[in-house]
Amino acid sequence: MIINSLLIFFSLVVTAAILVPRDWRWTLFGLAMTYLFGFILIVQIWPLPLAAVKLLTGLIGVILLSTTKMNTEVQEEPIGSISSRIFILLLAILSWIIVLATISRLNAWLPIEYTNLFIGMVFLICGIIKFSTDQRIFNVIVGLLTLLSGFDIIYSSLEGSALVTALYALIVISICILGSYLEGIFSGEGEE
Amino acid sequence: MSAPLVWIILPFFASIVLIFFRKNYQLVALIQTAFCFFLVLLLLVVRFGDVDSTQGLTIKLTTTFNLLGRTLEFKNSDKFVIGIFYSILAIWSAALFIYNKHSKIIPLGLALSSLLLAAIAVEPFLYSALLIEVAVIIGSMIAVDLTTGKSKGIIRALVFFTLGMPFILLAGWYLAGGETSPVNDTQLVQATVLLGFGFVFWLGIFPFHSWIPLIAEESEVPDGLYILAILPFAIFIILLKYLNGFVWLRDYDLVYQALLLFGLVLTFSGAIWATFQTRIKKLVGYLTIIYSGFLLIALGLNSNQGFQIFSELLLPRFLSLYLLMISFLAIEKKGVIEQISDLDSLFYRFPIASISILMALFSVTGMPLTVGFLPVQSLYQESARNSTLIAGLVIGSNALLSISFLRIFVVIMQPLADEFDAVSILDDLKENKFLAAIIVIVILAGIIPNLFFPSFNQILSSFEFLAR
Repeated sequence: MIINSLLIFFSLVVTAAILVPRDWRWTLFGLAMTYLFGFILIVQIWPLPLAAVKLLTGLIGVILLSTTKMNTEVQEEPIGSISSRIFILLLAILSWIIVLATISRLNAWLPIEYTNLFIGMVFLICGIIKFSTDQRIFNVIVGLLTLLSGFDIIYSSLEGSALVTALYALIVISICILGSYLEGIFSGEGEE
Repeated sequence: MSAPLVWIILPFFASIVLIFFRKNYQLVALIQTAFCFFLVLLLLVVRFGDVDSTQGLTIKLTTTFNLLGRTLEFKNSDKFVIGIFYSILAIWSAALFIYNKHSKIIPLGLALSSLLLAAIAVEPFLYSALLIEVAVIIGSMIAVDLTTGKSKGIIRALVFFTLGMPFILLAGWYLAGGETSPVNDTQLVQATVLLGFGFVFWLGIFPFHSWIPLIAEESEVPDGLYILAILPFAIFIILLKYLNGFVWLRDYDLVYQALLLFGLVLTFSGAIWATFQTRIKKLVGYLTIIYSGFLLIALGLNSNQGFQIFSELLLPRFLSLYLLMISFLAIEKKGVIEQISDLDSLFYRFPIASISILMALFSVTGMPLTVGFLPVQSLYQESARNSTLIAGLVIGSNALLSISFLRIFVVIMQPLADEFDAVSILDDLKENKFLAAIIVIVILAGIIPNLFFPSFNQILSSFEFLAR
């Protein structure tokens, strides 16, 4: 019970780390944490190797993105004001409240562990907020990966198969490769 | 040997192998074209499964291929759908070879086609959502244009397809076991809503359509149009598979009403945007939206005739996009076209390509003597039988489009103000012959519809419960 409460609390901190700071290092740290949380939750349901595949692919993806970011960092200008960050934080808090208010009804429909559903939903909505509030390629990719990470926590609790794990890993890696490719090519080339 | 191994696994690995030889672009393009034609021709002499045949030479292949505990399965009736995927890739690759145009379709098109076919073939087919997502990522890699520095369309497509995937997967989980056993009303509504959201994102239903014109504009012409030709087609086949697979879903009237509504919204909104469009490539994007609308309306009619119209609409859709693609390739060899105004007096500079563009555009509206005539007229007829309002909206949309295309016709035929050097179609004889051949096919299909359209009805044989 205490561990679950701690997991839920730290998942909120992780979403804040993804959404609020300007520095891409914090964003990627938050993304890496979502994979770690996913691993901790999924390993309770699935065999260790299958859960580890998800963690490893996620971390490989984070490394890919951070490598690209390190090479393109010089060209990037920090954008966004304090007010925009406060707005995003408030948006995140609103999403947590919505999840908290609706989770029991959702839990009746999706019969999985409360902690898994809550954390999955929090990550999923965090991803949507991330790519909705920032149009830069890197942030959209991080948003998509966070959304997928959240959905994976929920879906893994419902359905487990080697093919799903393999395809999910392929999707995560492919999105990271595409993100690195686009970020590497287009950074500082007139993207809106 | 199994059918999925030949038409899914083999092309996928061929694509990977060909990447390493891409420096010899023309050779790889030729190999890909020949390989795709070979895969199509092979379909004519093979039988999937234990089907008795007394006709000449036939090779029997097993229908299933096991992959990580799940199955890829092709039935004998799927041969036409497989044929369409590789025929389209073959003619696209052939055009790229003839025009010597560098494109990432060579060789990633093979990987994309094989992944889309895997999404159609996978059993249980709720896993198709994951394969579609992988295919979309490969498609994004094809569509990205390194020269323009624009990626808005690709990113939006990726976002919308990723948003659609969870809905389809959850619906699939929800429906697992409901293929034959009845589900209660609440479950029915919930599952339908989930599926509905998934397909709304995937098919680019308004307001999630913005990636389509953006990809058409931002990508290189062959890349963007290939993605717009093949991706929605695969989604439509998966939609049909869902409708065919779940007895209660195909008997649920609300589903067909929703399809009709979405189709009308796409057709009408697409026509309005196309009418006021000044950028020619974006206009082509809106044409694909309009055609998706036609296809949805045909499905929403929920009748034998409607399903038949759906299959017949596919031919003008592919041919129009192909004609536009090769015309733009011919024109862009000597200049860039962005705005409709760039087509000014085009007929005097590129006569064959101009005719080709006009033929493609008027095929969409179903003008007589074009390939679109039969299916679009049938759509008017069948929708009028269903509801005058639906028919009115479809005809109104096409009227708007026709006005817009007449405007393009005037621009293309605008006499040159100054004296000009006469052009000869012998200048680019090989390309012009190729273009002319495709135009002849389009006209032939319009004049003698029985030559081409009946074979497209074979698509429906994969969905035996829909075509009653």
